[in-house]
Amino acid sequence: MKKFIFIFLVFTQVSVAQENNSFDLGKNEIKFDIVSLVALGKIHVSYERFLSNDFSVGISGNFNQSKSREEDFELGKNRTLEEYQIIPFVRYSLSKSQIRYYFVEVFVSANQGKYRELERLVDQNNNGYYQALQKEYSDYAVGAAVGHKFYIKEKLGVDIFVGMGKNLFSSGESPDIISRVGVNLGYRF
Amino acid sequence: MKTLKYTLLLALIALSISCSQEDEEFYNAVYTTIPGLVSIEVQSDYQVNDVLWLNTNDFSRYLNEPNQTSLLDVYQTTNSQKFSFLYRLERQVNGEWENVAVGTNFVEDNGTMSIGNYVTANAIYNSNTEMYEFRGGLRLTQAGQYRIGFFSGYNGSNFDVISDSSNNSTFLTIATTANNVTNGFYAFTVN
Repeated sequence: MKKFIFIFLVFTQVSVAQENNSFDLGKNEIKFDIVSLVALGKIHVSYERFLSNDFSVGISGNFNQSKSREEDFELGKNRTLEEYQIIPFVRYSLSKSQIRYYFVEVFVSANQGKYRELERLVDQNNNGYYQALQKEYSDYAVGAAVGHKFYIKEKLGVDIFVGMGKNLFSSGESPDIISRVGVNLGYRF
Repeated sequence: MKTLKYTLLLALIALSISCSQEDEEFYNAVYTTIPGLVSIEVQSDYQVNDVLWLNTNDFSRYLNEPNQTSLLDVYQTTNSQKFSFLYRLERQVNGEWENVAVGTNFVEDNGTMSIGNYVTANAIYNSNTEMYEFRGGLRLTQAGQYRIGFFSGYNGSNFDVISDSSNNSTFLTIATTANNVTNGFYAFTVN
């Protein structure tokens, strides 16, 4: 029994020490979001550069590839269709551990897409009619997110985050709110 | 592990929110007000077994829209083969207005009617006349005080005539009026 307790204590000490150790995990990470691809039909790739144990900066690209969303838009079921977002971000770690931590993030998003707007037009016989016309929008959003990150074997990173941003220059063209959600699988080097 | 579960839960909630935002909202609808699209064929008196007719004889494809210099082409706007409106027949019993079960006591002269707790009148587009045509009647099977009632329209008054638009065509709701209707009702007596 004493042996078992001794082994348990040694093991937990090692675990705690490992959590608090400073690792050389590398400064760079590339990431791919499988959940966005499967659930939303978006290609979402990111690069993150670690400036210190607490701060990192990065950039994400979000590209819509969903045929069903495009079809819904063409059929008039959705008002907007986001085509892409470019998202520079800054993250701050809320935990001391480098291999498992929570973070907060602020980001800006340059986003572009299509939208439909009803307009009253006049035909060649001078009769009016309403039609939803397809147009392009581009906007810039600011927002924030929170997330959790952990590493498997100190190289493979998993980060899960949720957040949203507000488009700044929307007057009915672009969506008011954009979401920032993802489950990234990354490789740190 | 617990915190990871909470984070995953939050992620799922945010995913569901992101799937039902403003861009999913219905946008392809026009609301306007054009009076006089429905007519009640008023008689000076009504006898049992008379038919009270309603029609849409003034419902052209081209309508005068308020604050516009050109006529509104409702067919080009909606691609709709029919416009519908609702009404009901009520009879006064012991001082209270009660809904009359129309059953089979209706007559379709032009367009179609469907009968439930209320009457749905469907004005069908005629490409020759370029009119949305309806003429339908309710047979008055008993003597008494009656009234035809219309449901309040989108603008809080009048009543709505609504297009049956297909997929990506614009849905059009027109708040309109009928002759001899006061506060949504046309009252009459059957002798």
